Amino acid sequence: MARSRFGHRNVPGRLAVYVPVTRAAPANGFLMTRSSIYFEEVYRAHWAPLVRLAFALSGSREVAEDVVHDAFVRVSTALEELDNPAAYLRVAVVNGVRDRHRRVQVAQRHPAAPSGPAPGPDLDETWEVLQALPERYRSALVLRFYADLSVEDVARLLRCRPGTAKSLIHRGLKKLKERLDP
Amino acid sequence: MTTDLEDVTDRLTMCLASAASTVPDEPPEWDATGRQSGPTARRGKSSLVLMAPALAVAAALVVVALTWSPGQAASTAQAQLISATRRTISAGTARVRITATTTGGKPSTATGVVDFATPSAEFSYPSGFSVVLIGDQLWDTGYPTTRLPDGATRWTHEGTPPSDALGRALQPDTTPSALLTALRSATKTVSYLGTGTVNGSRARHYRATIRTVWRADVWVAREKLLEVSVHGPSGTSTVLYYDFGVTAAIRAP
Repeated sequence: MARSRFGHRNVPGRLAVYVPVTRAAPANGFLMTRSSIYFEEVYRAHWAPLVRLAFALSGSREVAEDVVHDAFVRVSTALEELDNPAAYLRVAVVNGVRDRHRRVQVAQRHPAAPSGPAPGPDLDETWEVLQALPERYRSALVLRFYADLSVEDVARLLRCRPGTAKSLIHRGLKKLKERLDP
Repeated sequence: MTTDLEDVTDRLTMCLASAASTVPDEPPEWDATGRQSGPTARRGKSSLVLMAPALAVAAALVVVALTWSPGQAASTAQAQLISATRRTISAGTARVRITATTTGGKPSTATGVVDFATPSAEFSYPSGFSVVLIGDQLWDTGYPTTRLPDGATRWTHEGTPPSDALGRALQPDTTPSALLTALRSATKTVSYLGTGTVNGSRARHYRATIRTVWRADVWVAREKLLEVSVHGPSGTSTVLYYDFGVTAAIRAP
């Protein structure tokens, strides 16, 4: 990446940043443009919630961080035009995780092995069962019970009718219960 | 939902919350060209460091956002802020003191003067780093500051910052249209919180939400803006306006 003396990152489509490149630069020795300020703030405010959502959806921290990064790259060129960047990013993350899942299925014919956290006793079993559920059930459950979305919003994100989303949630819970308490 | 399913719902909710808690709050340093790799990702200090004066700029943006809100019916609080902002601009010039504090960091303060009409501004930090803005042209001293053989400070003309001129950002009265695009939707919520004392003056306290990530506390005294504080995830910046009408002779270095 080309940099000017002041660290202007000449990335096509990216937002300009003016930063003294010296390590000894004081905290006040730089300038940033408005767009880059806004991007940094959005990034800092929404990175963690989005990674958590993507992690719950994918079962993999690595996939989660990759998908969230892609979403931010996509949004960085159009951030100023978005009324609600958080909503846009969430859609991008949900779609990103689902796309990943499809690609993995096609390529390997089996889901990627979850690489989650060191789980606690309860997390261990429930988490594994959740991650073993079919993708649509898992997404519906995570969006409803982690993201706390309404059935209508879940349906919108999963591109299905509210009745279908409701059914996915209900049947997903039943499957979860059956596998947890056979 | 049956009781049985409520049980499994509780279990699921706890499981998801537990999994979420393993993700740290702090993001890795942004890098558009590469991938971060989780909590062990390399973290530079710049992300935090960068935000301090940036938030100061954001504070100036608030003024613009409050002044212009086309298509919106202004609330009483918003109308009062608009009025105060216009009076501030009418004053022509003001000294500013910008105090920026990054999260977990120490505050740094710049002082300077703003000419709302030209538009132009100059301000400097104790470290010696100084900036002059005239219209959309920017000069700075760089850091560390270098001296010419005759002892004068060496200035660099940075030209026009691409797309979003900092100069425009710091001149809240001049080219609001460029800023409006970003801030138009930000000022739907303006509320009046009461009175207090700021810098020895009795002032009215307003709060505005700037999009979803910035919160602005605006203090109005004698029908003009007294102080604008912007709080974001990276820290807080406060711009104090004083000495309205002060003589300002800002020239290109």
